[in-house]
Amino acid sequence: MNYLKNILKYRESSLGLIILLFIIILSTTTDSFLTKINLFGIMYYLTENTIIIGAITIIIVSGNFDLSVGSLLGFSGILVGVLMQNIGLPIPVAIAITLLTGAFIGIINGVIISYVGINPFITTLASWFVLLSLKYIINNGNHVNNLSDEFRIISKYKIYGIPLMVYIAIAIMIIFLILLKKTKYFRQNYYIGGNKKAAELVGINVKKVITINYMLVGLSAATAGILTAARFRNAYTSAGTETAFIAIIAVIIGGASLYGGKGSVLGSFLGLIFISLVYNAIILYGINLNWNLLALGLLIIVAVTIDAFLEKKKNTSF
Amino acid sequence: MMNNLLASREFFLAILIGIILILLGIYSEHFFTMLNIRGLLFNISVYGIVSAGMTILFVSKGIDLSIGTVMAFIGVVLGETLARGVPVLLVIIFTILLGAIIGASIGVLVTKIGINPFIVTLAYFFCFKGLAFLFGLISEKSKGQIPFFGDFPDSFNNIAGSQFYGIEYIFFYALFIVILYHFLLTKNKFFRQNYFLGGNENAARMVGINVDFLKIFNYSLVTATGAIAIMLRASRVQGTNATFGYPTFALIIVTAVILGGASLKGGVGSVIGSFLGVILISIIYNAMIMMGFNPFYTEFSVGIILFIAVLLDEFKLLTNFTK
Repeated sequence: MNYLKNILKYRESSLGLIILLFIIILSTTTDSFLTKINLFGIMYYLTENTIIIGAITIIIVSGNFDLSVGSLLGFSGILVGVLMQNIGLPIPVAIAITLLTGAFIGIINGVIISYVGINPFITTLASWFVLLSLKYIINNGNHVNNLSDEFRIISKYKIYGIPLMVYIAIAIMIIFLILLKKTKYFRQNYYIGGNKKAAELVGINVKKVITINYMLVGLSAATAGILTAARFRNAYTSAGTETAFIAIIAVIIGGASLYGGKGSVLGSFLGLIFISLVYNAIILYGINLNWNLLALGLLIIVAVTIDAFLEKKKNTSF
Repeated sequence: MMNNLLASREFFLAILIGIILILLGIYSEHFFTMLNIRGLLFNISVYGIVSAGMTILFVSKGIDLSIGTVMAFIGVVLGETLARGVPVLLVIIFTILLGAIIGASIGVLVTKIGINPFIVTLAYFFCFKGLAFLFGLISEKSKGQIPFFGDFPDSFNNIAGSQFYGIEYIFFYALFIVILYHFLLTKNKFFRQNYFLGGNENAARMVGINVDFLKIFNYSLVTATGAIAIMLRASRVQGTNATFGYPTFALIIVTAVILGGASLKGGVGSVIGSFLGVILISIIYNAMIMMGFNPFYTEFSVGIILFIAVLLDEFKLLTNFTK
């Protein structure tokens, strides 16, 4: 009993347990859960979100938000397609330009939020909007069709039966995990999220750290956008609409607090798995897909409510 | 001193609108046609009604990003109740109540549970989009499809369906609401508390203002006003659908309200200013489409306008408190 209590003390392990239970329930109550098609479906859904979850976790740990990550993802996909097809640039150049653009947009977000001082919600809401329109503008509202096979290899090349995209995603996540957990530079985000003024007083260059955070989100979103586009034959304009939302829920489920100062990449990743399983369950049980939107919204309210209660409890514990 | 600043914001907007109208008069043959103006006034009316309620919320330092999809949901429920033959008067009362209740639930989550309104209303934004579409499951009329309603009784269509000397009824409704809300916010003791609340919440509490109640009331007001707007719209276009308001309606409202002088930091705002903001954005939108700009550029420009509005807000505030 004590062993169980120890596991439940940590968010990551309790989440792991819940996920295990979930998988067991799904495997036993449906025939389609353990099929290759289904598992691959979950894997692809997970992969796209895993690429950005590391950077988003850091942003939330530092007490900020990025709502624009989804439309940046979509925009990058269209951009890389346009660069290759309409402009005819070689693949590595197109990818490089797209990555740089993503990083640059991230820096703009970061500068506006930290140096100009505008509320991160409104800033990233506005950039979400701007990128949404840019995405349609650069290719006149069309998807980019017939991407070359050489380009698609970066996603689809299979090693031991698993696409390269998955390995890249996991590698990126592990990099962020190590960065946030082990490096002194990124651990500063915990202090910034805990108490920004105090962090400044201790000598942390808050503005620079936050700007770098947003640059990393931009870079990750661009990467995800490119890989997602490479996964299909076409780059769709609809990619990434709910990504920011899913990321925030995953991070909260994984133990971060919206006020900052808490959170872990591992927890966020487990939160993502949880959300993917919920989504999968909705599909497997034949429930109308619109329930997914509803479920996402409800999940976030529940997660945030619990978060708020814990915060209140912390403040009144004496 | 802030009042003077605000007055100049309204004046500034009015001048800007005037200049654009003059330019349009000179350079565009199609802008000042009955057909175009009618459509423009319609959009201004719908946005204007919602922005009036949103202004009051902003003054109290609140925000509601869910208003678009919640209105879609209310519209769909509205369509269903009308289709089932419920008397029009009851439908109107019920719809407004529905809006008030949904808004109040947001208020409760923000005040009693203490969740950031950005997060709550963002969650509601997605939830109600889902709910609006899911309504097709229990709807009699739209079984299994994306909910879309039409064929309303004449008594409903007549509410906002006709014109008065060529100007749509709905525009008069909008003017009425804007002027009413402006009057309430500036002259009525209860509504003026919002300026104190937005300025300094703790101080407002200490002066005896019932902060929680006021906040819940504001959120309730925004959604109830949205319900009125969607009803008038439904009466005018004789239909409602589940796709309304996604994804950018709330953003346009927020942009207009901030343009009109309100701030995310609370404590300032003007209903007339927001209405002028609505007019400005609607005219720019309309003009860009008329001039043949790629329609996506117009969406893009609203995002830019929001950036500019917030920057204006930021720097004006910075210069005010440097004493």
